[in-house]
Amino acid sequence: MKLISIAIISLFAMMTCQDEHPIFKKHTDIITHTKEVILSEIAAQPTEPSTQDSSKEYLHDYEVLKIDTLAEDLTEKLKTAVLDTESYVIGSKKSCPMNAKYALTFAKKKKQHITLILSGHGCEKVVIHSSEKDLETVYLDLKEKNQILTLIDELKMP
Amino acid sequence: MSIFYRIISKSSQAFSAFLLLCLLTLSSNLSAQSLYEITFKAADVSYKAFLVYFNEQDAYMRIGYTYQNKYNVVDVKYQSVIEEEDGYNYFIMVGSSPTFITEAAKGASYNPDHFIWMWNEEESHNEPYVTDDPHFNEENILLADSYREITASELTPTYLRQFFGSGEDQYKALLRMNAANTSQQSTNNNTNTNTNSGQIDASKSTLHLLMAVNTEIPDIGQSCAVDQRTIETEFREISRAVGMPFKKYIVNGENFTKANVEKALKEMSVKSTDVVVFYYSGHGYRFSDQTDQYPQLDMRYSEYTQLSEQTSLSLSQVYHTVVGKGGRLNLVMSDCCNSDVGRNQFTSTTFMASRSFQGAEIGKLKKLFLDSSGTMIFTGSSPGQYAWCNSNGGFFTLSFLQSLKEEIGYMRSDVPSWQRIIQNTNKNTDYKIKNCNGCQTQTPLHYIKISQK
Repeated sequence: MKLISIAIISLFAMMTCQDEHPIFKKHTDIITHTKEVILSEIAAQPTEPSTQDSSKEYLHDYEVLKIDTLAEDLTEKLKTAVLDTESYVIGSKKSCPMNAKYALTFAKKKKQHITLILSGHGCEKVVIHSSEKDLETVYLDLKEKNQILTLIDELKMP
Repeated sequence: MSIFYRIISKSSQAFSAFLLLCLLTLSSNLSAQSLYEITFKAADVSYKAFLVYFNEQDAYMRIGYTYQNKYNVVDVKYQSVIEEEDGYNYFIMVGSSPTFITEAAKGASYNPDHFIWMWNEEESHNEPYVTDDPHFNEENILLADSYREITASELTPTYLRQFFGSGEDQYKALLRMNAANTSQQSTNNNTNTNTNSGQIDASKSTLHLLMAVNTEIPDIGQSCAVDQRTIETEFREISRAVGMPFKKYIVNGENFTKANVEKALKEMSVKSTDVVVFYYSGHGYRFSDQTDQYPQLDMRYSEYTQLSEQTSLSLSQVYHTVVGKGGRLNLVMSDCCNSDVGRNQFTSTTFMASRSFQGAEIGKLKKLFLDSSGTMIFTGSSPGQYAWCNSNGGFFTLSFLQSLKEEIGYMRSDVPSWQRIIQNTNKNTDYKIKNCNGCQTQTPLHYIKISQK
């Protein structure tokens, strides 16, 4: 049954083929053309702007705990993983509460960026924020075995 | 560009995916089985199909057609799946096991037809595509001529004899459905008078429905809101059908707090003949050191609210509070995850310390809601598991409603039972999970002690 449905979907997907990425639309270049990807360790939950501590740094209201600059080979692997639709569960979501762990920021120019707020193992989810008006904030689930968290975990392994 | 894409692009913008959505979610009303008619033409032969849809795993079609001056009826079994890809939704019904109901001509065979509906936010097509090609080659796919829902009033002997033999059980069940509909209309919907099968006087037995639904949370709020609508509609219709007064309590939006659920439960006045239904749709989790099998309900409508004792509600404690109200029948359900949140329990004081329906046989409904007493706790996932949802609602909630509807349908001959509703909910949930790309195992968890008169 599953195979049949995949076959049909592939058939119709070919018919309705679009150039846009299903998640990042026409803005994949922000990810692909970024030279530096910033990986931040962030607090599990966001802080209301009115109660934020001015001495601390926040990213989409999540307190930044630590910042890592990534090596070039890992940067390229992460770009591939983030753009790979197989990393995401499309159409369905799990009903567990987000427990943020990392943020990945791709900045093509200073004012043109995409940031992924990643919820870690136990409730793999992602919230995608961007500077682009036609790319609204998106809430998606990550597959249990996804390359994005796997690559980050490998980096963080002691 | 493909022929199919052109067909869809040219179609009217005023299409309706309503019938299809009814079929997918069975949420239009409490129709226990959905009946549809599809007509299509292939190789100069006209086919008229009568579809009886119970759920994704269980549906069949009777297809009537004339070939070489002989009228044939074939029975084809169906399984279906819904998928979403590139902004398009697909509902696919795959046929198998064709069997001739009429006497088959020597050497006659029938290739089962497969049906495909597709739609997105901007466009859709009411009619499905149809093919008997198991490889779904594009040149063998046709657009059906018509697709419509069949109402009980249309189930006349003349209509049904196109598809059924007069001795068949399904034929008799469908005629009963038609007769009940006629009787209901002629008596001006008086099926909700106090002619129940047991000793309970329905008019003196209130159905209390308390719904705690996280409609505001950004990631799944929309799906939870769908759950709320379907659950409310179904239980309201149930109470109307059996003649029970209905009282609802909703904790949602920015009122979605633990304190408000506690307050609603505390203020609920329950008589010993009443039915209490507690339903939760939202985030759920379990503490790392938790021994209770049932989940914690996450009572936060904002992602800015910190997880704390004030935002965490144990489903087991809700269950004990509901049971403690002393109602005749208590159903406590939650559609949420039961996965480890990565922290231990809060240690402090305990919670609440102070403390008509078309297509359904009314007799079966009464068996479940008037002739039954006891308790049931039923949650969407086992310890360590996620509960999944999509734009149609939670998989567990959808499966529960499908199972309930199947149980009360005319086409089922067994005495309705809550135990079988649980079994079928589990089966339906599993089927949805297996057809979801990326979803992981989800096994609902329950405890039931319900007896029937």
